Amino acid sequence: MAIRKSYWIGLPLLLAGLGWYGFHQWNKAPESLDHTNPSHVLEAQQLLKKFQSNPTQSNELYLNQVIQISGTCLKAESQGDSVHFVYMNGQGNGDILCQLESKQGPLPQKGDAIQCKGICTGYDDLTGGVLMNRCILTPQSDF
Amino acid sequence: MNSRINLHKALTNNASSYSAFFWSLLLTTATTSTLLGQASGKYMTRTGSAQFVADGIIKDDVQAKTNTVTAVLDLATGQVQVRIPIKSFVFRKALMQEHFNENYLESYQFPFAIFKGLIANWEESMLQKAGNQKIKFIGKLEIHGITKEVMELGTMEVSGGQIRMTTDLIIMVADYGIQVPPLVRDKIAKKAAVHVEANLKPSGQ
Repeated sequence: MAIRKSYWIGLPLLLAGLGWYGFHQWNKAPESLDHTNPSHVLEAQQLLKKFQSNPTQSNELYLNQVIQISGTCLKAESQGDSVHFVYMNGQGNGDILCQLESKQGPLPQKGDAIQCKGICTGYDDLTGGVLMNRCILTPQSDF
Repeated sequence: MNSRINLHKALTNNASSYSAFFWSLLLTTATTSTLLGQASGKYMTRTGSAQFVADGIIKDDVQAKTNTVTAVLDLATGQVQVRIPIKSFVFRKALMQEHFNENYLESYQFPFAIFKGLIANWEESMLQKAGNQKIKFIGKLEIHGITKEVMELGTMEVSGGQIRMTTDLIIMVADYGIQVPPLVRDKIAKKAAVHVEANLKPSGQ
């Protein structure tokens, strides 16, 4: 009798718990990369050269991976209040375009040494540049 | 020619004509400086946008946007190239984003959607016209490693030294070999409405 009673209490609780978990998982927003460890840490110039010299091999290594690069800011620009871009390294022969996840403070200035963590979304052979998305600028001391 | 006529009138009439001449000259200069009368070469952007909505039976915010679209327009020929990085699409829901990249578009294998073609009704004189102009893109669209001939309508507007191009297209999921698991096949949209927008600047700026 007691077993049957606990069954009728336990089963709905279990189902409710599973339902809540499923609902939570389905509606979860994409996580910030703030606490994600990068799979590769390298100089921006190095990343650019690797993609330009061997895009296929570099795609295998870096595409869709969280990577962290350090280098020099070429320029930063915004589209409205919510879309921000930072361009890194490259002297007229391609560069790395990083779209920031959000604006965490003032955008860097041209010539600033910066460090950026984001998802490498590919090498654009139209421009000879590398694309990174959902980027966050990380403090230099982390490098 | 208009300026010459204005100049002649201004020199032969009274002081009020000088004022009229001045204002017409100013207006002419302002108008031509926002259009691209002398433009040549290529115009491009790397920060164009693309967004799509693909609601099926499940009305569940199946929509995403990217702001890192590359587009290049050759002013001499009207040829256009557009590249959309698949992985850069951001969804409201993480699981949806994961399924989109890993199960449907397989972005690790096919990282870009690519359009190569031209503006069929392209004329260089379009650069000197103000306001929205209708254009027709024809070319090849590659998504998920499959290439299809496409013809899409769009708009073009020349303003402030930039060329703004937009297009809206419907992508049939099955046309591009995107496999939907049988369990959810009836619930997921069979087509996606895509909007692409790019503000092109002279190449190198």
